[in-house]
Amino acid sequence: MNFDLTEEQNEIAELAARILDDHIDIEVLRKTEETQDWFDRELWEKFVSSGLIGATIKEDVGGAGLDILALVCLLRAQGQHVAPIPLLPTLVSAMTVDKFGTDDKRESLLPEIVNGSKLLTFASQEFLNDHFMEPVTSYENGLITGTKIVVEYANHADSVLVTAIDGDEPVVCIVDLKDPNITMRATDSTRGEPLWELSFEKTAADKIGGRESVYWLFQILLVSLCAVQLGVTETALKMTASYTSEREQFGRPLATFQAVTQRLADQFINVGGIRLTTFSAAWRLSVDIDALEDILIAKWWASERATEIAHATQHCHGGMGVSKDYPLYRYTLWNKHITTSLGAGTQTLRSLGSFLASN
Amino acid sequence: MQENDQTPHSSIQDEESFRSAVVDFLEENCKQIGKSESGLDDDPERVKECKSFQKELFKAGLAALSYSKEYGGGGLTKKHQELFDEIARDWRLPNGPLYISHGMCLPMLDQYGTDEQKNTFMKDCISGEKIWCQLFSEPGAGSDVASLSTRASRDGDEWVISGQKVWTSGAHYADLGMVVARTDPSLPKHKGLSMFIVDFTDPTVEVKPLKQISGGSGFNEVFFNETRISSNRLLGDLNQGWNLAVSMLMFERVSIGAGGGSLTADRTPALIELAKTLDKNSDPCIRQMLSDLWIREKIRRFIGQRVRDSAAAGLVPGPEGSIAKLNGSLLARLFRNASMEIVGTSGQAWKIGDDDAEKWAIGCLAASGVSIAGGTDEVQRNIIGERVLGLPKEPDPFKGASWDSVPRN
Repeated sequence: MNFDLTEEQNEIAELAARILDDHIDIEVLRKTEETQDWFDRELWEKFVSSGLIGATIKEDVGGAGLDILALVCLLRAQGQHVAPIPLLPTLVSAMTVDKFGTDDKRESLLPEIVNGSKLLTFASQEFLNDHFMEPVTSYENGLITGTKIVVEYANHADSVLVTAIDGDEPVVCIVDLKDPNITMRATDSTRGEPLWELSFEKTAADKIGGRESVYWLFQILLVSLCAVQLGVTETALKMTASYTSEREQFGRPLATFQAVTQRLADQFINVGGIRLTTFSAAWRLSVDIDALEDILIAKWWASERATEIAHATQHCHGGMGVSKDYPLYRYTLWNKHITTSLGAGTQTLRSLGSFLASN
Repeated sequence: MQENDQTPHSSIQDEESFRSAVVDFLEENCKQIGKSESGLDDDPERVKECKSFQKELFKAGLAALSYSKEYGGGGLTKKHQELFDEIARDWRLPNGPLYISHGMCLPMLDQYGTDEQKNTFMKDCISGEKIWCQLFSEPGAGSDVASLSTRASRDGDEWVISGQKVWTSGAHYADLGMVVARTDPSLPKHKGLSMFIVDFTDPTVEVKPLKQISGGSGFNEVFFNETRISSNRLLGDLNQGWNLAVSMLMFERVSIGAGGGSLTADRTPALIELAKTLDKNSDPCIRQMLSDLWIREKIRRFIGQRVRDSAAAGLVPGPEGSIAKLNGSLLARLFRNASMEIVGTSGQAWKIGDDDAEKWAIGCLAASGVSIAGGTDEVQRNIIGERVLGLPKEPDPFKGASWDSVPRN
């Protein structure tokens, strides 16, 4: 068995890392955050022009045809740099259209995603509804009605994928965000970017796929969140290792105190756990083997264990961990954002439990 | 929900009349003033509200109950204070900004102040007229606070203080501060420190708020640029600053982990209410978390009770403050996890202006600060290991060396 990434996957990861290394620094992040817009367009252009946005889209519509492991590599790199661009919503939505959309839909939409002239996002969560496969938003005769929450980049995206219920079948459909029958409200969020509440009132919607597409969207979303979390926790741990090696108290580096060393060693295992479970889940999904069990395990690591990592890295930084003058806090905010996205640890365990009990 | 009658107060002669005086006061003053929990510490409105509340409390003779009347206290016993705290648990007292003034600085003034210092400072401290802060930590001296390098040099009848402090809670609204500074660098690190009372209106004292992950600015950097203070502002004896600092930290730990204030108020009932509102109270996992928190908060009360009882018996707080603080920090994290499970996506994003949802999200981010402030969990565990369990101290290669000969950053 060979667990190595392919040459192409490695190249994608390296290219993304190079662009991000060159582009992102604290000033760039601050500038983007000050706009309240949370969208570094210059960086997005760089991703578009180097072909990264199309990397995981099929070749007949302008992409490079790479798989979900390449997606994981890209999102991991984003997480490592906490880069404020709509990478996850755009790629996940585009790949869903690519997999389930009609040729007409694919050919009219996806080339414009690849060349950067359009953005996509998705709207899957509803207030007090933990059941992804059972949306309350209704789809009837090409019209949807209902309210979705925590939608990313809704103010920038051109279209949004919406999960809805058609009779008793869940469906994914696509909606033009310029439609006047949508009410958009910004909400505050812990990570700092606006997240949107979208209310649809008999809004025109094109069906992309049925139950299978909703299930697939659920899975790829979870894997994607885990991939970002992997990058976030990797960098947070690296920063902590270097901080505790340099910071001296009692006449010696903090990292030489066993309470610190051992706690960080535990976090290394936690990060390793997120990495292994995420890649395992992504690989299964990429070769169309049922991946739900692996995905839920990965999400548990990326929630429960990631919370441990967030606290340990913050704690070992002392007061610096909570100060906005030091870069670590962004990693903590991203970590928490991902942890609570689509349900924290307990909710994941509950889903895993019912999966195991019914198989 | 609350059980207020766990301890008999037979030692209080006037229990009934005292109790009704407290309840009358709280009903009168906390209904209008209360509900301020969601505000951030640096909110200037909150400081104003706190001052006016404390003034009323003082006027009613219910502030600093166990302190001498001569210095503005209530002239009653610690049992009275304890009973007050117990009754007050059911109200939201908007006195958060006074937590350092009253939890740390007031007992220090009382214990170590000269008669002159007590006369000058205690009454205004108790009435909330003046707010205090304490200044220990420095950029190079966190857990190893005894290595601090802010200097106080003698010049005639004055001391001249120079250096930088950091993580100073409430310095941006404080009127006065208790500052630990190095008075003799040729002595070992613990032995050359002294504590001073510094007036924060002095223009040479510069306060710069730090922005925190939770969005607030409760902490500050404080710079002393050759701040001159009169020699009668030395608190306690010269070069005894470490002993004072240790007893102040004990007061702080007691305050964080066992005090009667908002930091140690039971929070599970609010979480249970939240679970009910969000229709999650029949979920077995959530119920289990809530029960677990309920039990732990109960244990915290017992720990707090022991600490306060020993204080009431006139003992200076000892290492049990570390147990209370460590437990409080653990509880803060468990509470964070449980609250995030319950609020779900509302902990991630909330309607702009929805203070209630924002409160849960910010509370979650604030939880990790509890394990750092007032001595990290590791420092507390070391204290418990050495002073409670009697384990040998970790070898210190610099033991007995003069402060100026030890490397530091």
